[in-house]
Amino acid sequence: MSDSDGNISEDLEFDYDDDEEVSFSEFTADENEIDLVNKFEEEVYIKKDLKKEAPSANRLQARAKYKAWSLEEYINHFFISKCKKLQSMKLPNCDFDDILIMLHAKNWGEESVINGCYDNPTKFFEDCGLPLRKRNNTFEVVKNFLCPICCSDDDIQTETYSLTCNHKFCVACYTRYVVGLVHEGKLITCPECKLSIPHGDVQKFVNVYNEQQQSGSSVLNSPFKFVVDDASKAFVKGSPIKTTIDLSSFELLKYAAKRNIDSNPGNFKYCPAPDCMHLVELLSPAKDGRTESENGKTMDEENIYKVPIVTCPKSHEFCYSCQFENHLPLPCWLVKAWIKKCNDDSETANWIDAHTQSCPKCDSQIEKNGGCNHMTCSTCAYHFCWICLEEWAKHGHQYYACNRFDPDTVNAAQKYKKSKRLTLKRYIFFYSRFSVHETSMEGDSKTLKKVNEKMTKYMNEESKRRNNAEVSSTNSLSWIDVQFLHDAIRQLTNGRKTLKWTYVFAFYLSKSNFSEIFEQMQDYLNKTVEDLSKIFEEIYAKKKDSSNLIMQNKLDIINLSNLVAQRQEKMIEFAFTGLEQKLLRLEEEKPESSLEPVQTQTQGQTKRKQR
Amino acid sequence: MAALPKRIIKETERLVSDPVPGITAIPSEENLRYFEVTIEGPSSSPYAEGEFKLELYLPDDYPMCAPKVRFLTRIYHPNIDKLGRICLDVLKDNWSPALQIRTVLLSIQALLGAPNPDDPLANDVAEDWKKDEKRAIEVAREWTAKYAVKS
Ligand SMILES: [Zn+2]
Ligand SMILES: [Zn+2]
Ligand SMILES: [Zn+2]
Ligand SMILES: [Zn+2]
Ligand SMILES: [Zn+2]
Ligand SMILES: [Zn+2]
Repeated sequence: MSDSDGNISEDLEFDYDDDEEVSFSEFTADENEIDLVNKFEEEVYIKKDLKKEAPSANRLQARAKYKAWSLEEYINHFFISKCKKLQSMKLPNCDFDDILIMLHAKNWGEESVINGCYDNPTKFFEDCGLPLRKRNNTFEVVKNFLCPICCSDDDIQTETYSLTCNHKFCVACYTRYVVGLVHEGKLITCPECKLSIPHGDVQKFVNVYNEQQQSGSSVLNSPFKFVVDDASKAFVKGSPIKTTIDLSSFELLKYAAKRNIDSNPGNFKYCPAPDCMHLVELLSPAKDGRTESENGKTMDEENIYKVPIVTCPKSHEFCYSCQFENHLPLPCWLVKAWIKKCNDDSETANWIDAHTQSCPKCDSQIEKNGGCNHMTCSTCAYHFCWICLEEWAKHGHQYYACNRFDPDTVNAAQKYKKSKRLTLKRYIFFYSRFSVHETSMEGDSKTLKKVNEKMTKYMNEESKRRNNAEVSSTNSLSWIDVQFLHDAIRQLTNGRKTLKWTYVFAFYLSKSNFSEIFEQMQDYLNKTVEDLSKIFEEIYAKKKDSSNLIMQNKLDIINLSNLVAQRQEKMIEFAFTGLEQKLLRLEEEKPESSLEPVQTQTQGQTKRKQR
Repeated sequence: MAALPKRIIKETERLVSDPVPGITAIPSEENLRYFEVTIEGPSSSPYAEGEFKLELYLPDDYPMCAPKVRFLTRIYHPNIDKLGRICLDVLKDNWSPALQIRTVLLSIQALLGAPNPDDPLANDVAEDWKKDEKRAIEVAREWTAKYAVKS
């Protein structure tokens, strides 16, 4: 989806051009699969013209208008623009820095700042930690300075910083102090009194700290021993923030925004991806049947399976309702049920160690490193499947037999066991597949990072070589030539994510002819994902010339990732259509309690806060 | 262990050379970041005549974070719980690296003189305090006589 411009409100349901059919050189789907898909299409689209209604995962997505916000946009909109507005009002005795501090102190309420400035400016200035006389923040080098915080007087010359109060501390201590507090998102005061440090100066300390981190010497790890080379350049005596500086990149404002959103989320939700601080704001309520049911209308069966998938400005897809990764094809309430079940059952499921396994042949311990489930024992060279522990060769010609749980077999083998044990076993069967793919996703991302690094290195060398030898550009690669690698990496991750959730889907699925088709489609997706993962693992394992291996495998990588995309989409579409047309049935009914619209939840939170 | 920071050395020296009246703080021989502390109850409080033992530890990132202080002597006080943990702003949010061991100990002594049952830590004690202050003060006095005997 769009990652270029986060400002555009996106309507999740967009039109599909007829997807261009991917041509496969050696990865054509086998006959069985074509038959199967045909059968599925016949039965499902009895009255529909398939060509016009191209299958698309997005039919499962709830229609919701939303706006993707980067944190910087949030800061500009909610903080900086207010500041500029107040600045244009020419409040008495305030410059930009002062107004920013005032707004921050008053939780970004313009009114309270205006009132404060006119009603009782002396008290208001004091409240905000602003000096009553002209601000005089000073960075200076002092001879024989004894810093009250570190008590160090080793250096003849010490860089110091002080606010208008003239409480001087060495820059090293000030940096540690500021960096330690910036994460709280509150105004930071002088260590000795209540005067606020202007945002621009806070950022200078953060910059000093970051530079130190980059150069290897750590302020935090080597306490009180810290030489500031560039601090004197960073600090210009009493300099106010220049409005040309990008304020939205200020660390303190970022954390202030976080604080603001946490205390008053409204329709904002964070992207759940690790280390992503971007946001999505819901503009209209998700039309996924919830609003209808609220108005007393019968709930639309079709719509309860829809998932409000949104995309953050960094292109991370997530479910707005669950605030969880894209969990298609599983409906939201089953995500909640599954997570609850996993937490409840984690004790019993603990014995499944997803990370180590002994070789089924020689019993030596093997650790799973990458994401691929094709294992080779380093002791006896036995090739086997991580999931079913069967010989890998068995998977080659047939499809993936390891995906399916066959109650008959289990019944035969364990006739004497009670049904309760079977239930647990069934759960563990699906749970282990779910968690294997979760672990594999981590493995994949490690492998892919390395592969990407190798490629980047190769490209850099290549361009150097080209520059030196002036080889004609037709012989060498350009960045566009390796774009496929990024696409494949993303596709592999997406495919595995869907695959992972299909196991939970299968867990809740009642057995029927259609559930068998679902399982077979799962097999195909699984096989393709593993094949693609395997190629990357081979590239990763190769010590030399790995970039050549990448280019040799280019076609395979492209074809496989297209196949992953295709099978993934088919699978999601099949799940949705199956549910919609009641060809697939879920064993767990949607509980009424989880029908609460997103809106109500947010209101509920606010109410709790107010009480 | 890393060398003791200059700041801690200076503070320790000053605690010895210029002690705070009614308060002692002696660093342990094995660990110079660990202090054995005694505080005399303020004369106008139910803790008068008592001598309370505390322990104080300076964590690795002191003075960027507050020292850890705990009462070892049992005390009946709305802001001190059974385990001797103290509810005091300067030990938490209001800590600043400009504060020192001596300022912290003085704040604790002041807390003995002015209990604050509206910001409680030991909930039941605070309840008693609010319900029947006279009786609570009586209990505090009894506990002081029983547990905080001067050695
Ligand atoms: Zn210092
Ligand atoms: Zn000050
Ligand atoms: Zn994101
Ligand atoms: Zn969801
Ligand atoms: Zn083996
Ligand atoms: Zn298998």
